Amino acid sequence: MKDFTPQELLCRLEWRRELRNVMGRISHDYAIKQEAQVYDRYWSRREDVCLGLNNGYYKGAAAVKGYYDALGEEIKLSSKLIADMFPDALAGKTEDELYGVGMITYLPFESQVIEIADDGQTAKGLWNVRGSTCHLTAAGPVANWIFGWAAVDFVLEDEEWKILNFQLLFNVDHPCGVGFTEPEKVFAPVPQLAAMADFHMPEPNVKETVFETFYPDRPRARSPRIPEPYATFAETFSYGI
Amino acid sequence: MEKFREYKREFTDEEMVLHAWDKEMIQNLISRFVLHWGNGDADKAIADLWVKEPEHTADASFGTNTGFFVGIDEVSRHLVDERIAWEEKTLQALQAANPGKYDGAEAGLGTSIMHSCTTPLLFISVDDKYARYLCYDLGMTGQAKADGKADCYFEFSLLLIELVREAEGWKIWHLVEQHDFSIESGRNYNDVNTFIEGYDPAARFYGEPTVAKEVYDNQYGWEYLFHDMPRPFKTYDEDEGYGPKGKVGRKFYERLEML
Repeated sequence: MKDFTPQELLCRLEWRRELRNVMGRISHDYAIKQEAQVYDRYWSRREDVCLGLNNGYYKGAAAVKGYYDALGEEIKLSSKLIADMFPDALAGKTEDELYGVGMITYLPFESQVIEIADDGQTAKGLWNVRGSTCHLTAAGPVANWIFGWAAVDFVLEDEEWKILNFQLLFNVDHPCGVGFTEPEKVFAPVPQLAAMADFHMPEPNVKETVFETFYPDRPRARSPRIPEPYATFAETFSYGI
Repeated sequence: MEKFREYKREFTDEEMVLHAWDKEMIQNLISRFVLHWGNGDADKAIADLWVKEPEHTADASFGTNTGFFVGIDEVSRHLVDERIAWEEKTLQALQAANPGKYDGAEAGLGTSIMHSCTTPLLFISVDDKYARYLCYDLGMTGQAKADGKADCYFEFSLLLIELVREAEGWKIWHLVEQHDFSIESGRNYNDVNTFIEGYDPAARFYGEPTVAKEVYDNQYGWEYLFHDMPRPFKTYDEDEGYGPKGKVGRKFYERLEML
């Protein structure tokens, strides 16, 4: 890293706090069922953005936005089905009032390594993720344990840090109550929730195995590459494709 | 809480910024360490993040529940060599049970470890040469078994870390991992009679320390002490430190006798 003046270091301290705040807001957005807003709130408007999940990449603004929009559709459907199941408590509520009822996702981000480019135009961060998710399925709510990483490239736009590339990769994403590599329990379908079976998230437009969750004979696997000090984005690696 | 009040210090604006920057860089360093450690890349972590100057490498240490690895080569033996040996043993068990299936596979197959550093306490000494850090290490381990299944655990530890400022910057000098308990994934922990059985799946990671001594007895937990929490301090004190000659790892009743 080049030498910075105390004033420049102070600016960098503020930036580092802001980068953590962005990730903190995303985490809490997931917890309060606002994850469908993540693209609008935190992503760059650039066309070349990229979201990587275990099963592939959503490359390009339309694909990334489409992924988050679909999360919103899933939440709407889940909310409606739950409202239908619990009319005593939920009858008469509007779609907005019902939005997100019942489900919760905890994706705390911690153990962060952050590097800001010497030129101050981009930044990179790698976080551990350790939490749990709860999804409504056609067999009722299913909660999973999560262990993984969030690896993010940021770009400074109009003095705000925005996400350019984001890998959200899970090392463990497995139902609670069974071993991480044991077969998942099969629950009986719930007729009132049958519509959940017809809901599918859009497939990544670049379909490839980015990361495999742990299984007994999985080859050696590591976290996404840990950020290293760098001068400009052109000279370092990218979490996108 | 008098002992946790920062010493009154006079900083210029510039010194205050550098002090805050130091704390930020120490957090980055510890995070980088736990990620490398989990990845099985402790050799890189030791090369980049641990002490290099001879006056520190000689007594650099890593403590586990059952003793201290003393000297940077011994730290490496534990974090690198013993990890590789564990990975190779895991692979060999799979190979022996499945002739031909895993020929040529890289060690590390069938294993997974994640470490973390959450809820940190961090203080830099008044002389600006040393730092002490305490965090939880909440992670997971997974290890394949010959029968094709895997042992997987939630892991719960504490990391007590002492850092020293060398010419290159802050470096890890002494680290104690007090491992508290492991919860087998998918198993009700309350079904495990840990108190009677002395159940400790993490014992397979404690290794063969240079100085074998009880550093943390997770049956009783009486070495997890208020006295060892980082607090404002003036300079390094071997007796108060996290190295093998420090008080860390001594039981509560022994500490009372020292008062």
